[in-house]
Amino acid sequence: MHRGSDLPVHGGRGGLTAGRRADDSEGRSMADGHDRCGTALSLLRSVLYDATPPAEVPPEFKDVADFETLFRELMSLRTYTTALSEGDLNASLDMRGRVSGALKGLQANLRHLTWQTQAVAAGDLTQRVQFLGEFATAFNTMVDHLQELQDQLRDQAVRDPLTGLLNRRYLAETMPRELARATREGRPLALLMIDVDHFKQVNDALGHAAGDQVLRALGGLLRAMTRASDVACRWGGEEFVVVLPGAPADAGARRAEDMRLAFQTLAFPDQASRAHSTFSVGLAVFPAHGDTPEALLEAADRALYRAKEGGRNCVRVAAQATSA
Amino acid sequence: MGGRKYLFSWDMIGDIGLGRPNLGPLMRLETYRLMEFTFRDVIERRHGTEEADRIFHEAGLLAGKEFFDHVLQGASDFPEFVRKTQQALAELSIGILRIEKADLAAGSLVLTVSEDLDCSGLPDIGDQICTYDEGFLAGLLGAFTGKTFRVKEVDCWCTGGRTCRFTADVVA
Ligand SMILES: [Zn+2]
Repeated sequence: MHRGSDLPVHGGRGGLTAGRRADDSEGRSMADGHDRCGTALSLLRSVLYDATPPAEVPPEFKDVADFETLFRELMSLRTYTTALSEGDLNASLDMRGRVSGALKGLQANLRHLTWQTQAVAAGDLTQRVQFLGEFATAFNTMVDHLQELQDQLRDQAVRDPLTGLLNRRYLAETMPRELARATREGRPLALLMIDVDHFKQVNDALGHAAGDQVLRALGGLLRAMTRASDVACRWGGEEFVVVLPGAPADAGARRAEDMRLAFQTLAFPDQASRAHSTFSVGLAVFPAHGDTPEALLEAADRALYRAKEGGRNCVRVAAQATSA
Repeated sequence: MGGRKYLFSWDMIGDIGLGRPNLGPLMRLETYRLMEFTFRDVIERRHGTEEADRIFHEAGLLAGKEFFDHVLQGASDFPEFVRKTQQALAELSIGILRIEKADLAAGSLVLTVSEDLDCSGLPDIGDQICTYDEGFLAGLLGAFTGKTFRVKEVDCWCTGGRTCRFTADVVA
């Protein structure tokens, strides 16, 4: 309380006299000084304890500068803590020192918490709180859950529910990235377009459930025969696309051939057990057959058409791009 | 560039692993403050308080820019920028950064730095002293956004706060 340190009455100076006027006499009683000190204290107490403290310092204390400062600081503290207790984080505290510093620290933490929550609301799920113990734990757990949920939703949005493979939407998103990387690293990329042969006949003869089982089995096979860096997706219906980053034409054709052989000897479960299924493959390679997703898909599709024309159950590589 | 002996470049920080195999990259904060406040004393004595503040601010600005280029590169959006900055400032024991308000469209921010290098624990002298930090933050924000920021310290340990609070505004 350094600012109020000259409040107490000392000796014959008259203590808290208003202005130490010349007519102040040594004879002025100690009792008078004590009264004034008592008034001063009850004024300060009133700021801290009462519902309606005086708004101003009474005139007789006006020219005791430090007293008025302390009074104003306590009033500011009072207004500020009231605002804080009501959730108003914009109040400002016109006061110095330890208590004020602690409150400003609290305000800074709460305002940061508000900002962090706003950031989470805006989709930034990397925010983690380190303030308010149990609250922090709960908040962080909540954001973890949101992250898991978001991951699940994101995964669902890019996956084909029947086969568990990635979907066409994912391929559309990822192809430009894969091609950019292939360009940057100066590496080729093979794209296989796969179409199940006579799929309509399986459906017609054995039913849709059997058809689904064939597709699901093919999904499982493609998952098993691709690497983490490959992209295997269901393009739609009985068509599938597999992207093999880094694979040139011969390696791509070899991998396609392996898949074709594995599929033609695959045994299907239940309703599809009597199905004997094969697929045809069209293969296009970046950059020889195209350098955009559309061009590669088209080239692979034309190659697939030739595979069908050529008797099915085989792999065909695209012709060199005419523009090349 | 003729005549510049001390033009700053990140290389000047040197190969610390090579240079200090035993002592390593850390030193005590007292040493940092000893250097900072003796610099400040002499610069103020020779150039006056305002100029001393301006010099510290300008040095901070340069440091902020260099720090962004060499430590925070690659932050693509504001949340990532904040995250990287918070991480780097904490890892290098520079301070604990918290954002209180950020309206990038309006170009105005309020942020706090606690346990700050320059002023935490100093006596209450009644004046904000973190002019170097003001410059540093302006440098970081400027390098990230490509705009010019004016950063002002509004609360400081040296004015009785327990944390330093800064406002940052794009200069129109
Ligand atoms: Zn400060």
